[in-house]
Amino acid sequence: MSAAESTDESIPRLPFDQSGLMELPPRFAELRENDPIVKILTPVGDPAWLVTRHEDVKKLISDARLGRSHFDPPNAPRYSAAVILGGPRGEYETEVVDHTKARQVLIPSFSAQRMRSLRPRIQRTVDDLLSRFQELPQPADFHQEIAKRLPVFVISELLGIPFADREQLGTWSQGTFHTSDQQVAVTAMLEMREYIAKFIELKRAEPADDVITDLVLKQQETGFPPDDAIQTYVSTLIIAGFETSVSFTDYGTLLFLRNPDQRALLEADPGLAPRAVEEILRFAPASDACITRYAREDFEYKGTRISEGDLIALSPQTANRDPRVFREPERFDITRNENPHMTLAYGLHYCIGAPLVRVMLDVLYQTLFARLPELRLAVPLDELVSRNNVLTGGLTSLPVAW
Amino acid sequence: MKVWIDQSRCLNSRQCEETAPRVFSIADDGLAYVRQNDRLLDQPGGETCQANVPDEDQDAVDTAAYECPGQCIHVIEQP
Ligand code: HEM
Ligand code: SF4
Repeated sequence: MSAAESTDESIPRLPFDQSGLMELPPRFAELRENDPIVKILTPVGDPAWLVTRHEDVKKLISDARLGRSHFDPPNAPRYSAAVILGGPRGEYETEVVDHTKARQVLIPSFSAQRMRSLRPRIQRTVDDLLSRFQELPQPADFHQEIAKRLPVFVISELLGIPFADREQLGTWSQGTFHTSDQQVAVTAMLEMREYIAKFIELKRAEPADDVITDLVLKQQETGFPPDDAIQTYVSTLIIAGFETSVSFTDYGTLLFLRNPDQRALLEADPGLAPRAVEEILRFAPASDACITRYAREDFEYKGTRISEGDLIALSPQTANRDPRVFREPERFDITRNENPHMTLAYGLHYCIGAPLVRVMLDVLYQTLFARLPELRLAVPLDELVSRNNVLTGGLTSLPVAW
Repeated sequence: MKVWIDQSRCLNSRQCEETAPRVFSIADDGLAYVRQNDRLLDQPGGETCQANVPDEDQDAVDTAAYECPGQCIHVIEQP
């Protein structure tokens, strides 16, 4: 369905107007309170059910009646023009089996235990980036120098991709999220897969201590995953990991710069960093993009009739500010000890990169203000611009001085 | 019923702790452990540390195991 066909004025259409860079569009909260499961139009004008309460997002994210594939992909309603997350993904018949197998082989490479052992390496990367940053003329761009580099460096090292290619991968992964130009995204995806294919060969010849080698060895032991699946997994890891982490790194820093009381708490007690990371994940309005699912059968959910093939858009950001679950939800409070946010999803779809994100942001925020105690925003807040053409949001730049 | 956690697959989601706080905890080292009689079985954790689950927590433990993102909570039903 094209945008032009969807002209019904009474149906809310995404994106909702943002009132400020640090706010979630207020329409989300209105719907959460008054119309928690509501028919909307996506940014490309296709119909979807928008789900905004914590209880419902949590339930439906991992509900077996929903999936990410569609029985008729070319005609499926789309969330956006982005290749990934924009529309259906995977084979309808085999989705559950494929998904389970993928998680099975990938999880050991990303477990909390494994990430803990990488902590010293991540600390070194953060230290190096900050040392270089300190030498730059002021003001300097935190987005360009730190937020865009740290996750890309850490993830490529983990995957086993050489230093020299990391910037290129960053460019591809940003390309695949492009929401306004489908061709940019398709080309980026194809080039990335070709690039990964070369590394599968290389690791087969020369195994190393990295994720691509883990997968190649698994293939040699068990026959699974085949090369094309390894290409899919590795490109998914790059796409799922790079841009999301960049956005949260920008917004985490901005939240501390805008909330001096919370920054003082962290500086006085760096042991609060793990809780602060959870609060950044809960609160950062890094993107208002929804997690999408397609109904695999007809069913009724709390009085709403959902049909097979319907698009369901779950808003983790709105759920993260649900007053039924979070006390003073509109406050950035790094001392919360219970923080069941939905930013990393839930259950059998829970983000595989979660332990990595946690270690990376934990190390960054234990280090950043200790190294740069005078760190401050170098422009007025209203001069910051969010990356509207990138589904994962984030900032175009974050000029700071120290 | 007994339960243990395979830490080599744990994704640190904290879901088990939210679902069955008397049986699971995330310790300061960031890893998930089982509890028994209010005591954390963290020496060393993993398969060698299996907790007995009191009757009233068994449903919550089943839910936690079913929803566990790492599929690494192992429930042993006993006759
Ligand atoms: C702050 C940064 C991140 C955020 C907010 C985030 C968020 C998410 C969310 C919401 C999902 C669920 C998507 C869905 O169910 O449709 C997800 C899945 C996933 N994430 Fe992340 N993620 C982040 C970083 C990473 C990193 C660093 C990696 C790995 C390098 C990663 C790898 C994955 C993978 C492989 C999946 C797919 C899991 C599945 O299909 O079951 N993510 N992530
Ligand atoms: S629910 Fe599973 S993955 Fe999450 S912390 Fe507990 S054991 Fe780890």
